[in-house]
Amino acid sequence: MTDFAEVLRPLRARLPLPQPARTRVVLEIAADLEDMYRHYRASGLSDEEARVKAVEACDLSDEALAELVRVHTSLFRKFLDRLSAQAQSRWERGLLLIVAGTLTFVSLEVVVRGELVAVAGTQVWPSLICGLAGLTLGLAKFYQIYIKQDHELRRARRGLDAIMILAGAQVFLGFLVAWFGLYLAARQITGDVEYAIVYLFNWLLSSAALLSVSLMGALLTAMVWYALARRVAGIAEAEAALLS
Amino acid sequence: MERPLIEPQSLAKSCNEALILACLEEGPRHGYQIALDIEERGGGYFRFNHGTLYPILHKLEKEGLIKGAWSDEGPRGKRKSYGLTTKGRRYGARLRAGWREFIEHFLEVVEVDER
Repeated sequence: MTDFAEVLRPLRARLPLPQPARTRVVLEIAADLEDMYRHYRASGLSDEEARVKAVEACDLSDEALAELVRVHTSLFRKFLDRLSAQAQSRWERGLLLIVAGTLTFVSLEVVVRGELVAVAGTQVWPSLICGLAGLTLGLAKFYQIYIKQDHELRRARRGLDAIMILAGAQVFLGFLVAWFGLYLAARQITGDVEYAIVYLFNWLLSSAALLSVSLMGALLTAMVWYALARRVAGIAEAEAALLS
Repeated sequence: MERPLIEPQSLAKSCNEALILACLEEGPRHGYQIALDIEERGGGYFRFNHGTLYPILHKLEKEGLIKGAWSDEGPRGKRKSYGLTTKGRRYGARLRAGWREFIEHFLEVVEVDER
């Protein structure tokens, strides 16, 4: 295969398209470059002449490039592009806040009124806060990757680890607080042996509720992380395919 | 009066679309083949730069008029070829009828008796 990397690399940089559209366009042009080169070689041109002619034939003008970007731009992006840069940034931030706020409110409503949370008591809050932080961050990343389609790898990866850490923190905090609860129950039992069984069952009940909420929250956060990580891995893979 | 399909403001666009759709009537083609076929069939009159071709192909694909398919062609690597859809075939026929009508009206206006 002829190497047209020196032509394709700058072309890739000029294509502000989301993945996988960008990779597909570049792969298509790469294949056509190769075929055009073969065609010109077969028609009797020298290696260098065939390369130059093929590159000329497949050259994308700024106008054609803009048209290609327009074709692959989502309706949402087109709507945003119509707004001025300043308004766009405000609009995006506003939308993100509304969505994040709604999600947080709904989650709180469900969680706070839930029986499990009521039984677990205040000791569930550290775990819940970690869960909400993880989900909010996940939502922000979702908006960045899926809606805004900002596929610059470094930016896309930023914050993903934090989501996973927050999922782990929920489990860790759940077990830590439950263990501390056992210590408190044991102290109560030492001072009042007669009610030992009551203290023990109270601890069991609240710890089971606490761990259930923590594990469910962690699972939900981890699922969000997984979906985002897979998408980012797909973007990275597509970028790598271009460079190989 | 019904709005004509071919309008003076979008002649280049309609012309390119009609050429591509007509070329694909003969079967699926790779991007570079489309450009070469059009050039050959037009006796060199229509020269298609690939750079111009891609946005049109992708637009037609988005509109469901043509369908792109990737195939692995061994040592040649992956290639994308385009084929006409039923919708594209119908649209191509309408476009050709529109061009005939346009040329007819155009000649009515510009032709003068030079005898």
